[in-house]
Amino acid sequence: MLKQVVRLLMAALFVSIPYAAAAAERLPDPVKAWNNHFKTWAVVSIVVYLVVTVPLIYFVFKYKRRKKDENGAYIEGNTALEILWTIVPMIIIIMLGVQSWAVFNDLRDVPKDHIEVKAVGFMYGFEMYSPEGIMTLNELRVPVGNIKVNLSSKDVIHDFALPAFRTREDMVPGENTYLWFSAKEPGEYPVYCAEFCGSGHSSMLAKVIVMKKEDYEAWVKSKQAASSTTAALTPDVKGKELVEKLGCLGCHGIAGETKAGPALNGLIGKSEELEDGKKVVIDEAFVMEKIADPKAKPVKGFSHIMPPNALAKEDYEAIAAYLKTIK
Amino acid sequence: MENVMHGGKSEVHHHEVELSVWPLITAVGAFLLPISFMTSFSWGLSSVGIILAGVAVVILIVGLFGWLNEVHAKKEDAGLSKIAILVFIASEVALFGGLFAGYLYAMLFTGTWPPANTPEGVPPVMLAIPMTIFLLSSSFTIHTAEDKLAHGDMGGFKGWLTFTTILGALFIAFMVYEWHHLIAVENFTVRTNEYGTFFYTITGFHGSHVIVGLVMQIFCMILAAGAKIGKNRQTLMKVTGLYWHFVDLVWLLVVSLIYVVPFLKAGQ
Amino acid sequence: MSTQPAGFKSWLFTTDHKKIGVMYLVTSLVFFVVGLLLALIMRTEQLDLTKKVIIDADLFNTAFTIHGAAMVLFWMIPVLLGFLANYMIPLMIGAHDVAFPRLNALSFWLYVGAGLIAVCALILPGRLDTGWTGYPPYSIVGPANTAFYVFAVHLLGASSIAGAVNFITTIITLRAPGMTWGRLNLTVWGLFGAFIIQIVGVPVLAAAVTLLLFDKYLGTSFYDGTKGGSPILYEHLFWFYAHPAVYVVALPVFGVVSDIISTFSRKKVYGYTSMAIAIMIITVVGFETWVHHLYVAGTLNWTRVVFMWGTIAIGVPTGIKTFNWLATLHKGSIELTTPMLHALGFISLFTIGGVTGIANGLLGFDIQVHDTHWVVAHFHYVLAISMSMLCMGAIYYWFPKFTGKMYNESLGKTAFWITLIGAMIAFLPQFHLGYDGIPRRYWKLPAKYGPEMKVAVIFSYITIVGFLMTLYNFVHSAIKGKKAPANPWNSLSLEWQIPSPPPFYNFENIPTITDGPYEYGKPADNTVKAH
Ligand code: HEA
Ligand code: HEA
Ligand code: HEC
Ligand code: CUA
Ligand SMILES: [Cu+2]
Repeated sequence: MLKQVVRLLMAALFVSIPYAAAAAERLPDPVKAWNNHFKTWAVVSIVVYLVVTVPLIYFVFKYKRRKKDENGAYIEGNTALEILWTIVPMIIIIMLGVQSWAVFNDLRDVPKDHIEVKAVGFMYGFEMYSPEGIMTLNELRVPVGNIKVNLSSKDVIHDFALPAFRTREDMVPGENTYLWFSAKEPGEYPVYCAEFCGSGHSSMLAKVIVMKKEDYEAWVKSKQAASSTTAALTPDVKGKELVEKLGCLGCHGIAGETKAGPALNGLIGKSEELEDGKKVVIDEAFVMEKIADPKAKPVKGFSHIMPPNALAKEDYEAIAAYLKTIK
Repeated sequence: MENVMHGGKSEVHHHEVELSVWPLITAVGAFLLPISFMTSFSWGLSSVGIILAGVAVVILIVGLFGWLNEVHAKKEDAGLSKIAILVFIASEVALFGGLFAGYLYAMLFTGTWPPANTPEGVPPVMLAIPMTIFLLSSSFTIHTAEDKLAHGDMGGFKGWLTFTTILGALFIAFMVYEWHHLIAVENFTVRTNEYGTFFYTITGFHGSHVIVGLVMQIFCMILAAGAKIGKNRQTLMKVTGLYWHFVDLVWLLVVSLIYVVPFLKAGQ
Repeated sequence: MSTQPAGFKSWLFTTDHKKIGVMYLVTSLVFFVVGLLLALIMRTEQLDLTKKVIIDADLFNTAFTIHGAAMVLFWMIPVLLGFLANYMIPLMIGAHDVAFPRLNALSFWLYVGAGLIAVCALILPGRLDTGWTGYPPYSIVGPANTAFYVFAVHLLGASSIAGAVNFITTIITLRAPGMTWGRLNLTVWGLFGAFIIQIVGVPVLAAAVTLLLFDKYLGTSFYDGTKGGSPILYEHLFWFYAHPAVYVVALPVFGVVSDIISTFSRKKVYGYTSMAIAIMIITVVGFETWVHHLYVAGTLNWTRVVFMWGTIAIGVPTGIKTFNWLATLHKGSIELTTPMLHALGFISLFTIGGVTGIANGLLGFDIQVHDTHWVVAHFHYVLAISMSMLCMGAIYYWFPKFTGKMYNESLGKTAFWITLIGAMIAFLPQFHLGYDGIPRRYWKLPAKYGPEMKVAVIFSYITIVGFLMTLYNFVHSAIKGKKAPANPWNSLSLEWQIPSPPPFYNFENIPTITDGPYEYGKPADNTVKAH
C-alpha cells in the first residue's frame, strides 16, 4: 500500500512541476489569468466537495444500525491511508498557491509602458487626477492602454475596487498605494469603495471611462481651455464648480435627497433644528461658518462627519451664492 | 461503565467552595470602571465619572481582598496557582509582545527615530539608570524573602518583603517624577509624535504592572500579619515572586528598546 | 459533605462549574437571538435595493456591527469556551470542579458586564457603526462611541484570559488517575487548543483596542495616518487575534463532531492521534495567517505571499480531520439521531465554507473578492451555518445530561431539515455577487442584484422558522420532557457514566480511568490492531 502511495505521489509531482512552471510565466492579461485561476479553483473545489459528501451519504445508508446493541468494527487507523490524505491535499494546495502567486504578480507588477493617474478617496467620493492634472469627481477618464492608479485618502480608509479588471487596493490615509489595469475596450467600468467608511459607504461609487486615444486628447484640450476662463465666472457658477470640486456632493444631494448630510437645494431660508434643540433659519453666514467649522453648529439627525474646508472669502461667498440659486 | 473506569480512591472530597459573593462583587467593580470612563469622556459628566471611578476602585479592592481572605481561611493549599500564574504570564508576554511589535513597526517604517521634533533631553537615560537599579535589586530581595519564608523565618521574610516593596515604590516615585519632568519641562507629551505616544503607553503599561505587583506584595504582608501565610502556605508568595520577576524582565526590554535605542539613535 | 445550596442565591453566588455552564448557555443563547433579529432586520432592508425599507444607512451599519460582535464574541466563543468547557471538561477528565471555582464565576460575570455594554452600544446615542472590526481612522474620527467597543472587548478579554488560565490549569492538573493525554476526549483536546489561542491572542487584541481608546479620547496618534501613525498597525494587531479567534470556535467544534460521530457510529474515532496532532497544528499555524485579511491593505507584497502559504496550509490538517471523520463512519453502526444529523450536516457544509475560504486565502483570487459578498458567504457557511449548527447539535447531544430530560426527537429532526435547507440557500446567491466584486457592508447594493437578494432574504426567513422550532424544543423539553436515563446513547465517554443530571459533586469518588472514551467493540485480547 505504502509503495503504491509513493508511486502515485511521484506521478503527481511529475505532472505538477511543468504545470507550476507554466503558471509562473507571466500571462499577457491579468483578467484572463484571474478567470483561469477561478476555473481551476472551482474544479478542484467541486471535486473536493464530492469526495467528502458522496462517501458520507453512502456510508450513512450502507452502515445503518441494524441491531440495537451492535458495535462498529474496531479499527485504529491505517498509516498508508492517512499519508495519502495528507499528501494529496498538500499537492493540490501547492498547485493552487503557485498559480495564485503568478496571478498576483500579474496583478501587482506594472508594465513599463503605462501612464500614471491619481485617485484620492474622501468621505464620500473619489477625486481623480489625470496625468495633465485635470481633476474630475467620481469619474476617471483614461485612454486605452496600461494605467497605473496611485491611491491615497484624505480622511479614513477607502478602497478603489475595479471588479471589471479583477483588481482593488485600499486607499490609506498617510500612505501611498497603487493598482494597475490594462484598459483594452473603450467603455464605462464601475468603481466601488470596498472598505467600510461610514454612512455614505454604499453610495461611494464612481466609474472608469476608457476612451479612444483621439477622444481622450480632445477631452483634455476642452478641459484645459475651460479652466483658463474660470477667472471670469460669475460667483454662482464658480460656487457650483467649487461644490463639485470640493466633494460636497459626496454627502449632499442637490435634488432634495438625503445622503450622509442634508440636501443642499432650497436650503437658504429654511429653518433647521440643531443638535442642542435650538432652531435656526439658515442664511449665507450659517453656510459659510458650516464650511469653515462644521462642528460649531451641528444639525440634528445626522452624524457629524463633515470635514472642515479653509477657503478664501470669495470662495465661501461663491458657494453661498450658488446654494441660493438651487431650489 | 466497567469499560472505561472503575471504583476510584475513596477519599472524601470537599468542593473547594459552594458559594462565594466575592467574584460577583469584583465583577461589579470591574464593570463600573469603564462605565465611569464613559460617563466622563463620552457623556461629558466628568464629576459623576470621577465619583463613579472612586466607587468602582473601592468595590474592586474590597472584592479582591475579601476573595483572598476567603481563600486563605482554608487550611490546606492546593498549590495550583503556580501553574496558573505561568499560564497567565504567557498572556502578559503576548500583551507586551503586541505593544513592542507595534513600536518596532512604527520605528522601522519611519525615517528618523525618534522623530525630529523630539526634545533634546528625551529619552531621559540618566533617570532610567537608577530605576533599573531599583527594579533589578528588588528581584534579589524578593527572592531572599521567599527563601526566608521557605525556612519559616517569618521575621526575615517580612523584612525582605518590605525592602522589596520600598524599592518598587521608589521606582514608581521616580517614574512619576520622570513623567512630570518630561511633560512640564521638556514639553514632551503623548501628542508630540509617535515616539511620545509609544513612550508613555509602554512605560505606562509597565508601570501599572509594577503597581499590581506592589499591591500583591501588600496583600502578602497583610496576610502574613494575620498568620495566613507561612511555611505551609507559600503559594501566594511564590506567585507574587514569579510575577515580580516577570515585571523586571519586561523593564529590561523597555530600557533597551524605549530608552537606549532612541538615545543612541540606533533605530535608523 | 455539605448539602447542596438552593434558591436564588445558589445561582447568583455559585461557583459550581455546572451552574456556571448553564448560565453561560442561557446568556449566549440570548445574544444569539439578538444577533439573529438584527440579521433579519438587515435582510428585510435588502428586499428593495432602491429605497429605504425599514432602516437607514446609519442603522444598517449599527445593525451589522452589533450582529457581528454579538455572534462572534457573545455567542460562538462563550457557548463553546463558556458553556461547553465549563460543563464538560470536569466531567470528561474526572474532576469535582475546575481548578479555581471563584475565578470561574468571575469570568462569567465579566462576560455579562461586557454584554451589557454591548447592548448599550446598540441603543444609546453614539451608536457603534464601525463594523465588528472597528478599523481606525473611521472608529476615531467617525461619530461612533468607540469606548463601548473598547470596554466590551476589555471586559470580555479579562473574562477570556481568566477562563483560559483556569481551564488550562484544570486540564493539566486535575485529570483523574489513569486519564492520560491519550485518553482525553477530542472535545477536551479542541478546547485545550482554543484556550492556548486565547492566552496568546486576547492580550494583543486588548492592547490594540486600548490604543484605539487613547487615540480617540487622549489625542495620541498610533493609528492616525495624517499624524505619522499607521491605521494598518491596528489591522495587524486586530487580526493577530481575530483570525485565530475563528479557530477558537472551530477547534472545540471539531472535537465535538468527533465525539458525536464516534458515539452514534459506535466506533472508535479513526486516527485519534492524528486528530489531536491536527488540532495542535491548527493552533500554531493559525497564528501565521492573519495577513490574509490585509491582502489589499497596502501591505508589502512579500508579506502577502508568506501569509498566503500559511493560510492555505491550514487546509491540510483540516482535511485530515475531515477524512478521519469519514473513515470513522466507514464500517460503523450508524444511528441517525438529531445530534448525528447535525454532525453530518456540519461536515458537508463546512467543506463548502472551507474551500471558499481557500479561495479567499489564495492571494490572486482574493484581490477580486476581498471585502465582497464572497467573503460574507464564506464566513456564514463556516461560522454562521456550520459552527452554529454544530453548537445546536452539541446542545442536543448533551441535553439529556445537563437537563436530565429527553428532547423531542421528531421535532428536532424536522427543525434540522428546515434550518438546513434555509441556511444552505440563504447565502448561496452571495457567491455570485462576490464573483462580480460587489462590496459587503453596503446598505444598498446595485439594483440589478434584486432577484438574488430576494432569494437570500426569503430563505433566511425559512431558517429562522427552523431555529424557532429548535428553541421551542429546548425550552419545552427542559421543562416538560421525559426523564432521561444516565446514558441514553450508550456512550463510553466518562461524562455519561454518572447520573443525569450529574450530582452536585459529579463523582462520588474520583474514578480511576482504565481506557479511552472511544473503545467501542474493542476485542478482549487486544491483538487486532489495524486493517
Ligand atoms: C469559524 C470560523 C471560520 C473558519 C473555520 C474559517 C476558515 C478559513 N478561512 Fe475564514 N473567515 C471567517 C471565519 C472562518 N474562516 C470570518 C468570520 C471572516 C470574515 C471576517 C471579517 O472580515 O469580518 C473570514 C474571512 C476570511 C478571509 C479574508 C477574506 C477577505 O476579507 O478578503 C480569508 C482569506 O484568506 C479566509 C480564509 C479561511 C481559510 C483558508 C480557512 C480554512 O481554515 C478552511 C479549511 C477547510 C477546508 C479547506 C475544508 C476541508 C478540507 C478538505 C476536505 C481537504 C481538501 C481540501 C483542499 C485540498 C482544498 N477567511
Ligand atoms: C455565528 C455567527 C453568525 C451567524 C449565526 C449569522 C447569521 C446570519 N447573518 Fe451574519 N454576520 C456575521 C456572523 C453571523 N451571522 C458576522 C461576523 C458578520 C460581519 C459583521 C461586520 O461586517 O462587521 C455578519 C454580517 C452579516 C450581514 C451584513 C453583510 C454585509 O456586510 O453587507 C448580513 C446581511 O444580511 C448577515 C445576515 C445574516 C443572516 C440572515 C443570518 C441568519 O439569520 C442565518 C440563518 C440562520 C438561522 C436563522 C438560525 C441559526 C441557526 C443556525 C445557523 C444553525 C443551523 C442549524 C441547523 C441546520 C439545524 N450577516
Ligand atoms: C463627509 C461628508 C460631508 C462632506 C464632504 C460635506 N458635508 Fe456638509 N454636512 C454633512 C453632514 C453629515 C451635515 C449635517 C450634520 C452636521 O451639521 O454636522 C452637513 C451639513 C451641511 C450644511 C448645513 C445643512 C443644514 O441643513 O443645515 C451645509 C450648508 C453643508 N453641509 C455644506 C457643505 C459644503 C458646501 C460642502 C463642501 C465643501 C460639504 N458640506 C461637504 C456632511 C458632509
Ligand atoms: Cu469609502 Cu467605503
Ligand atoms: Cu482569517
